[in-house]
Amino acid sequence: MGQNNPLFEPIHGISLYDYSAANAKIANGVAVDIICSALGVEVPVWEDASQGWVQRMQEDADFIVISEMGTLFGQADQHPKLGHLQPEAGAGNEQNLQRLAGDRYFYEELNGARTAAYEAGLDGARWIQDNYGISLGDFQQVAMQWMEQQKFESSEETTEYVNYMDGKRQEYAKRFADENGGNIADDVEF
Amino acid sequence: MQEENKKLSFIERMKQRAVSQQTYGGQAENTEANTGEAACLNCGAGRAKQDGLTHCAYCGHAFITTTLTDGSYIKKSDNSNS
Amino acid sequence: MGLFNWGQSQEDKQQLATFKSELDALENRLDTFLAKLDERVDVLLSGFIEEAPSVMAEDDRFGQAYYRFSSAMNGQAGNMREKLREVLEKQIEPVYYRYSDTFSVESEAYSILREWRHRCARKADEWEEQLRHRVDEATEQVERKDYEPVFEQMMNTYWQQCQSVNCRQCGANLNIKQVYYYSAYVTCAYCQTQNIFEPGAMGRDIEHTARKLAEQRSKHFMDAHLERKNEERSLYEQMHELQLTLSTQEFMTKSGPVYEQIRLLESKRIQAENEAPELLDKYYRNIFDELTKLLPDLEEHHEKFFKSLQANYQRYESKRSTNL
Repeated sequence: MGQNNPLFEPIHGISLYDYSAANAKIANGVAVDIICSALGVEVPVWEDASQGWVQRMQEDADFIVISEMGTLFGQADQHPKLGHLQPEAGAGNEQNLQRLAGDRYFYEELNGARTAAYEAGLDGARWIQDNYGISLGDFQQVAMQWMEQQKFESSEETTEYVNYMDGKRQEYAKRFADENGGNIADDVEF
Repeated sequence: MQEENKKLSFIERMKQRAVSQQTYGGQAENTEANTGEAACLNCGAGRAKQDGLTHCAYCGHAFITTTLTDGSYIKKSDNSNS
Repeated sequence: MGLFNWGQSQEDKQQLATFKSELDALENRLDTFLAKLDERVDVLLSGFIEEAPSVMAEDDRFGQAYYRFSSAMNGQAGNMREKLREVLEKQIEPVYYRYSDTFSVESEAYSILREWRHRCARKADEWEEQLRHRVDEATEQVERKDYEPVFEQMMNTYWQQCQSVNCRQCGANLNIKQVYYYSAYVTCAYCQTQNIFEPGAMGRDIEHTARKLAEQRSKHFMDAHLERKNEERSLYEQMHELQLTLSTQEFMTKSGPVYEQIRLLESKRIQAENEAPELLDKYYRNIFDELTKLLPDLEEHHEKFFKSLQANYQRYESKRSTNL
């Protein structure tokens, strides 16, 4: 995408890559002031730049900025200034995170579980954090990587993964329901 | 907890789960309008409007290492001269 | 032979009767099943409507507990939908396939079977449609809120809080005169020191609430837009029904009283089809006009945002070709 496009001009020296990677880190629980020191700005500067990026995305009818942001979000860990930042609570479960990035079935399982959790009235992001030590930001980053991957898949492969995910969603839905005394119509039979 | 839950109606259980769950990232806080520390961490001097935002006019400390552009609240003219 | 091509023999009649009663029994069971599910939907939705206000009252400013509560309600509706789909798949469809392989396509039994399957599927579809409608209605009822006083209250609270925000350097009042949507450097009028002003939860939520209020003030355009779209669809369906009654003569010559009637419907339909996108445009235009009234400093952004949105919804506009 054109480097000369004014839509990609940094705001207060904060580039789209800075903005995207910072958001990935914030979603992972890195505090905003840590992000700001790493970028060499104060919070009001960061917020003014953030607002500017949000407005550009809203004003861009062709979704160029937002799709580029998606790609850059997935590259947060390679960012020269922000890549190394970890939340105070620690890096989370590195083993599970690696498995999430390398094992598509594991990713689809957690994806299904997360949907099932929300449908059961649980906070899905929290559930994954509590049970697998994977933060929301890390999960989203891996999701972006798998979505890139999906462009090169055959439709059979995609269907296979979608079905796998849905099977897991149902499995977890049953488990979450059982933990809370069942569904409202479990005893209604044909 | 699960035994107790059985005595509740379905809706009561559904509500209890929604209300008692911890939210990812914690509860949203209700902060009031206020001011934060803006003085120089190095020498304690305040930042006067005419001195710009990026550097301390007294000791040269860099508050901001990037170059400010024209945003909404912050403008190019807010760059310190030194 | 029997089953495949029922004739007039006593034995054949007997078999046909058994077959019919099997289908009837299954259909009755489906009706009973749907009625029982409906009772649960009643419990679910009335409970949701009753309890939602207290969930909201205790909630944080992002409404996260209510979000979980309503997700759970939707999850239960989804669960019942899946139960119904499973019944169709495991109880209705296998019976259809068991018999359909053995009947000849012209037989009376086959047409009975086909209509039965069709009826069962339609009952399920209608039930689902009804469920979706009821869930939407309950959600709307629970979430209905007049944003006029909410917005006013937020602004008042914000201005009130600003009154006691003073300069860190000299203690003079900062005399905040604008809504800051996020933190900003504010210069003290007395000593020229720049303070970092934090607008607090109210200031930070104002833009979002203004959007809700602007949508509320523009809703009548959206309602009218949807009404026109439905009108267009209904006129098209009426035309289609009439077209089926045309004689070959009328069809070929494109004339006759029925044809005239169709033409009349078509002109109304075209009017509705033209008005629908205009109303959608008015809806969005009005939202941004209202937003600018509420938050004048964002006017330039509102204009650009509107143009970008407009480019997108206009991209999906299409017109029917009726070819009369």
